[in-house]
Amino acid sequence: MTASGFVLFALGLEAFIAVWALVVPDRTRPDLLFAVTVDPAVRRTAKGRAILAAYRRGAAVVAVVSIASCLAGAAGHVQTAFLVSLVVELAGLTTVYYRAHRRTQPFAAVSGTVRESALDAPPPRLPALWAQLGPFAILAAAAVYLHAHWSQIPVRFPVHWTFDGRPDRWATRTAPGVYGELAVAAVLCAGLLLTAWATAHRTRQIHATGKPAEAERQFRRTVLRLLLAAEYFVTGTFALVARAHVHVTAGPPAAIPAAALVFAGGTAFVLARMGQGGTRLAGAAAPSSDGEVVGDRTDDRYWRAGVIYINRADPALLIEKRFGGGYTMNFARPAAWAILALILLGVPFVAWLTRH
Amino acid sequence: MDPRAGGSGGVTMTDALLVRLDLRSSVAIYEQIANGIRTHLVSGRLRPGASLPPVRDLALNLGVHHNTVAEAYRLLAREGWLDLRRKRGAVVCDREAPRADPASEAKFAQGLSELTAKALTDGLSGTAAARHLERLAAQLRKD
Repeated sequence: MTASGFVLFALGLEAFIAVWALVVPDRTRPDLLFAVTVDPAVRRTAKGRAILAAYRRGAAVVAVVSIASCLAGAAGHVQTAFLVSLVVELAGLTTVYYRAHRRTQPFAAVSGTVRESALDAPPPRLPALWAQLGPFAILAAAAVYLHAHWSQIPVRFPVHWTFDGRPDRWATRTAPGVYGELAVAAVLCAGLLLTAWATAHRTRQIHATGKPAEAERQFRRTVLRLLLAAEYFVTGTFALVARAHVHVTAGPPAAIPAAALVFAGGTAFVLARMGQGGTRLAGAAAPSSDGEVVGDRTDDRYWRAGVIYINRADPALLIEKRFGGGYTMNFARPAAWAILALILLGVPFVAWLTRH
Repeated sequence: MDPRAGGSGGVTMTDALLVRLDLRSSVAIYEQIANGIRTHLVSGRLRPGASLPPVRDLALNLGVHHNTVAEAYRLLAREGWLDLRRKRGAVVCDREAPRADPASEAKFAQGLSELTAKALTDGLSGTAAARHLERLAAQLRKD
């Protein structure tokens, strides 16, 4: 990827984040506004509309400033300009969200205290076993390919490239050097598989009957498919990089960053179209039969700033995000901290592995 | 009885096999869960051989500790409704109703009177209470 290609990638990523931030408030559950449980009618009141408009104005300003700063810095050190503008965008959007969250709090409704569950609900299912084994089969095939072409791999070969396609990190022809990245991909895949299992078996069904329940199940199935697609994307990418160990002059396809952006955009589009928990599907946003504000059947007091959930009494490990798509963790569960530690330690480990 | 009124929890009047509980209710949560399941057992909608959801799944959906659901299952097992076995989970038994003694009938009558009095205190009209009781009576006669 050339320098101009990198600028396009950077602008695309920042535009993607900005669009996501703008559409999220309309994609959450109707009785959650900026992560506060409210009566759905609040959105249509003058004050509710004013909060939404102020948020959108703020998010748009942040997006314009960050994209402009990225463009302005592109003449100098492109990657530094991108990182600075990305930090500006994320910090700005967080501030704008938090202000809207605080402004919404006076309209908070009392969360319903009724919980229900169907005794005859179909058990959640992961995708078929052969589909789950596919990514690992791809990695195994890549390993076999490398083993078969071992003599064609140079003694020292590139494992990382700059955005303009120049190699900037090398490994030697040893088993860890050649197969290390495939092992990293296998660990990433296992992590995604574990996430899929937790999504299927450790998330709460908020509605028990009717269209809302079916929409939730459809949403969960879609999330599982997206996680599986992410596994295939990760393994496909790593397999192409592994192939480049043999075909050193060609290098990995330059389109990988663009493909990653397209994949992330597609994922966001699918989630946004369904709405959080499938609430934008036909009939899914039906009001509660007893007039209660259901929200996500969690109490506001267990949320920190509407994004961090800590509730010792809740057995769920994964909880629907109140602002965003998909799930977050219940940080009262020790498993959540273990997973967080694995992620935080995993990133430096991957960096260390690619350097050695 | 409409458990939505916040009484002893239990089931809804819909066709779904639901268990409902109200966190504000003075009735213990495990009892609300047991009451809900027992209603389906008595009505015959949960037949012998049917499996109940695993304890962890039901606890997860209801947002309660798994020990609470396990206690409800144990209560129903002691009453002879459920067979609790490792790996098989909770399975509905073919239960023979025990012979009712006069004390249990008196206890039932007193409980019904108290429940009706509480519903009337909470604002339910006498007509509505009678309608619910008649519907229940009709269903019992039919069964």
